[in-house]
Amino acid sequence: MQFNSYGFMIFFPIVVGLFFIIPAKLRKLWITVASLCFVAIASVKYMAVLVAVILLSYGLALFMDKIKDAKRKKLFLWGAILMSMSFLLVTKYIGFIFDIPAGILNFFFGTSLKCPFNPLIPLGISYYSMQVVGYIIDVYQGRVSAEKNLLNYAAYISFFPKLIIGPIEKSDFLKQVKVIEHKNLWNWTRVTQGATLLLWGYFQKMVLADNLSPFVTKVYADYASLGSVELFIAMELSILQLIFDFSAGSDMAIGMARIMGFDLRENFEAPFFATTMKEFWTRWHMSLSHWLRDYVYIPLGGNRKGKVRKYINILITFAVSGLWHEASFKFILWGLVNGMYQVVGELWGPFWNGINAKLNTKKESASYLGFQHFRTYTLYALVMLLFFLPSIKDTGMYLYRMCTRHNPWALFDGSLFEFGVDAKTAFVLFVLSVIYIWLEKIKYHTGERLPELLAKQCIWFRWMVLLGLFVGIVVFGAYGRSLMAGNFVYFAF
Amino acid sequence: MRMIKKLVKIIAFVLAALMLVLAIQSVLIVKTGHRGTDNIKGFYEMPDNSIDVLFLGSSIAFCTADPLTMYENSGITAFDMCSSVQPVELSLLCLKEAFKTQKPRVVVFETTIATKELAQDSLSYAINDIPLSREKIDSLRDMFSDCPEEIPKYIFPILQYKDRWKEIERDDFTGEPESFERYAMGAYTPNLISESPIDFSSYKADGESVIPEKNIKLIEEMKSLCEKNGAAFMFLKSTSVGWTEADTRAFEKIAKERDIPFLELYSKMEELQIDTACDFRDNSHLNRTGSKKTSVYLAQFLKENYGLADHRTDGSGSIWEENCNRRNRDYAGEHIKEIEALPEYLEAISMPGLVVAVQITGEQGENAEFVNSFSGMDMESGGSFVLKDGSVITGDEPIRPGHEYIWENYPDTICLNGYTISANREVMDLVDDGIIFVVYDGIQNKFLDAAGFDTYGGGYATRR
Repeated sequence: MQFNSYGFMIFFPIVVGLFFIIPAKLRKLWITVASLCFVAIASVKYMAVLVAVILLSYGLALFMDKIKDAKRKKLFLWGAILMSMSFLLVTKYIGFIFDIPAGILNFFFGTSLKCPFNPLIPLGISYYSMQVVGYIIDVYQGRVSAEKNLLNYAAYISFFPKLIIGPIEKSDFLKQVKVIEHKNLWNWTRVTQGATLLLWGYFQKMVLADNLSPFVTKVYADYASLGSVELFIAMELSILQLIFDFSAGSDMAIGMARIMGFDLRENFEAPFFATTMKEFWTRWHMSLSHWLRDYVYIPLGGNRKGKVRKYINILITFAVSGLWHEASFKFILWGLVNGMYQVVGELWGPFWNGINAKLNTKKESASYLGFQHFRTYTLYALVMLLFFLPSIKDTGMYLYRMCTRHNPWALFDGSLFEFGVDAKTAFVLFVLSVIYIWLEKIKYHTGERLPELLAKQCIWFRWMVLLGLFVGIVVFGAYGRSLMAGNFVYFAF
Repeated sequence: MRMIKKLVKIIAFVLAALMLVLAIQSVLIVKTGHRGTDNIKGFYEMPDNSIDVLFLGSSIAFCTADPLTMYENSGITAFDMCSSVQPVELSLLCLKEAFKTQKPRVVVFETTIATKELAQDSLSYAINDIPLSREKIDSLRDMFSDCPEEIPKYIFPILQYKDRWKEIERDDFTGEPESFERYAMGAYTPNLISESPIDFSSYKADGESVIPEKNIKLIEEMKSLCEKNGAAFMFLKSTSVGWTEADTRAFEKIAKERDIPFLELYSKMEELQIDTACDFRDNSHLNRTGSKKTSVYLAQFLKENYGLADHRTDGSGSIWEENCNRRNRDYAGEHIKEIEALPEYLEAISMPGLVVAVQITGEQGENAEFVNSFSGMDMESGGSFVLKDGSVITGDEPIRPGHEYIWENYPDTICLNGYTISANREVMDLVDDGIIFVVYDGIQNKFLDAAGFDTYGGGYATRR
């Protein structure tokens, strides 16, 4: 069930309403039941997988916690990780694993082997599998003790606002779950702030992301017949769309959790304003980046084993990130290119700084900052072609056409408005995007989101903004039979 | 206390949001003109218990039965609660709505659309203007049982029309332009003629059509609802291409089995002197002259068979009377647009309630004297003036270049500056040498015509 579906708009108020009405001791049970229903609406099979992962990891963590012998414990850790990830491996990666030898055999011996399994990726499995593995490692490392109460653990893993597009919560979220029956969760400020964030999320998704989507989708689908201008603009706008989309999902998840008395991690913090790719990854999909840092990069040795190892560790970490997104060579390459950005950035940095020092470049100037933002944004847009296009070959063709099929007249002849976003919609999107970026800039400097900013204003202004958001969604939002509600991009993982 | 304050805040916010959405909806909702929406709106403007005959069905019904003609000829108070491609489900809902405020003696169901299954896409032509009620929700649930997610957009039409923000114009804010249907009791009878004679050869067919089972059930429900409310229920089939004898047979059977009178007009085309060359505007719809013929016949048929009263004499048909006058005025307005000769034009624009801006421009040649005589002013060197109810209202002297006169009926304006006339800022530069007229109906608040007559040549000028 998508957050922007009619079904969810009925589901969520019912869940929240009952959450506050039922006796406090039943809250955890209610969260778990509601979360399982949330998954079961998509498919009962998905719910069965989620239940199995919860039960298995719960038992494994408890058992591991009792092992005293360090070697045995370590061995068990690997077994537990493998077992907890078995569902993910079977459902998401089996095809890819099978396709590698099959591809070799097909190539050398002319066979026509195909994966006999039809991959069925259960809802949210990439997210909750990461959470489970993180929890098991935390238990092993003694950061938390294995949770004895199954209900606590089930609510922690399955909590629906974070289930389908993150954030990937660490084991400290368990502490919040454990105290909900002793806590007065009804807090007017939290509820209104959460609702504001939820509304803002809907606005970003339905007005900004989904109205921009037709342009990007149409250009990517038809790139072979288009010129440099359309391809470059689509490449840049695809990131804008992704930012709106992902930011919307994160805000909605955080808003929903806040209404229910929980604090989810930030997943997204003004990536527009990153000046380098390194900084970008500290602001983009932060919960995944932190997970990879804590459970892949640092265990690999991080930066403690010399520069060469550090760079290799970076590449491996990003390759894993690619694989997390999708089991394909295309995504491995996507991860490796992102890793290369980091490595090249580190190697190139001192040289670049030297040039700037000699040229006496004013690094604090708005123009230089603007250049850095654009550079980072465009570098990410380039690698994201692998993300959006069907194959590595398509990405190569796209880049080739973008660099060779010059058609500057497309900027002036109005043909850009023939890709599903007409001039009036484009104008509205431009104005709203400027407002969005302005809000992001405030967040970048002060850390304050829209609810916090509004809380400082008088009631008339607050209401005007909230009513404006609501009306904006109703009038400008993309929904209905002709405009199908777009899936969240990160919903696919 | 704090809790109550918060509750009040929530309710106030929800109400504010709802009011805002409804206000925006009233702007965005499409102003249909003649697609049926206005028929339904018009119905809710009728006084309670004033309608004797209610017509249900598609556009074929509202182009066949013209209640104002019926009233003029027989004094029957009828109403077309019809809409374009009205599915039977919607006819039933209209009937339920009608019985809430009216006690029609006869309900006439035009059968054309009953041979087809529900066409969901055409619902918006009528259902948006039916107020929210349990019956409406039940009907929507029935119509959208296969896709319930579509229901909200028929409860909140803004969800259908939201994308109209790109095309909104003045009429969307100033209210809907008055259309015939708002006072023609649902009828739509334009003065258009089909390009070629209508060919009814496809009417001949063997066998008997299969009518969707669901439609038969809905018809039975309509009949029993009529019986419960003391109204007679009958079928009508007007003449339209696409309907065949096989369909007629099927409906004759349904009618016979259920004891429903069935009046089909194919067999009466000769009797009614319906001319396939000039009584239709297209394959499916009668035009003004065709509709007049069928309406006179229908009025007589209904009066004789159901003993309906003549409301012209008892005064209870005053709205029909008033609307007949309005329509006649509209017809006269339509006629103005067609007049070619200047003297006839001058006579027509002296109709009460008209505001006419006149510009004398260029050389008047042999007609100079004539121009002076009709204005009563010396117009030899050009200028402009405004007539209202046939009299000049801009003073004894014409408006000369260098002076400006603005006549305003917000938001419409006519501006005269001695050189040109502008209607809502559009310059009416229609002839170089002659007279330009801009005609505004001050009663219906709309521009009727803009015409230029070249008076330079000999003889009476004609429209350019």
